[in-house]
Amino acid sequence: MRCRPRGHAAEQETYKLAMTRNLVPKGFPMWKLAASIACMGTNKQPDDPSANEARTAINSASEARDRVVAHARAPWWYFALCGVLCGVIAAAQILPPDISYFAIIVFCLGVVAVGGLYKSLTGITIKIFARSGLPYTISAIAVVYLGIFVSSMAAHSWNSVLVAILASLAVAVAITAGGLRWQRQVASPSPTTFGTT
Amino acid sequence: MKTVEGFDPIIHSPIRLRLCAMLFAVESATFTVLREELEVADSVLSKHISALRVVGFVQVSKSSVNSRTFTDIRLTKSGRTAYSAHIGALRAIAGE
Repeated sequence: MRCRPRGHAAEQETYKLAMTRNLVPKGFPMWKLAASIACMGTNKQPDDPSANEARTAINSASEARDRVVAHARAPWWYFALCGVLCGVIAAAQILPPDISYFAIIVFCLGVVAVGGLYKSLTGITIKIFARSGLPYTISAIAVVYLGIFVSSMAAHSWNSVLVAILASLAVAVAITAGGLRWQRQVASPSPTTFGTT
Repeated sequence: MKTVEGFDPIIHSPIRLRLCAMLFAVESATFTVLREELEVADSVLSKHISALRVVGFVQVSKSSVNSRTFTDIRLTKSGRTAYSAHIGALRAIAGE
């Protein structure tokens, strides 16, 4: 049985066009075609949303942002691992050259590994040089540099080992604490939501 | 009705708006995280990512960490600009 076009003029035109171009099989019901096209959406530019719709959209976006940053919660040992790596590079200053080179290699490989580990643990990556994280990154670099400086200055003194161990521990603790604090800041909810009327 | 400057109908779709908001907050997110947080099916998320990729707002790449393969989605520079402008337009409409 041949299906005759029924319905609105626009639907009939679409149906005729689809039939002419062999876009639908012969006898394809027009109501099915109309329903399919309705589901596909439209290229028509939507009108601007109302103020209330705009507020709802902003709140929805803020909520989505909060949900994804809540994933930025690596376990505490992740930051402890970062701290140990930075402590190793500070301690390397007083170690014999062979062991010192090995420590530097461990540090470099460790930095690459912890980057991948963070993504593996959380499913997201965050720019450490982004505006919110920049003070923490600069502080971390400064702490590591200070640790290296203190260790290298103490290398020629009688208690160099003790100073290097203390400097490494201080670097490790500072990096761990700073990392946990950075994580809390990153995962904090945005203050931009507001109620709808 | 005149469209507010910066208003982007491609981003304004509810799922795409939330997707862009998520990607704007991070450098990249895996497909799995986005799917879980948006609470949509794989096919739906793929469709919306494709729509954003066609206009150059997102970039999709595959990476492997510890023998696990991840599909990473990140907002491009133009995507970030468009999202910021869109949120600005929404704020203007909301009268903030």
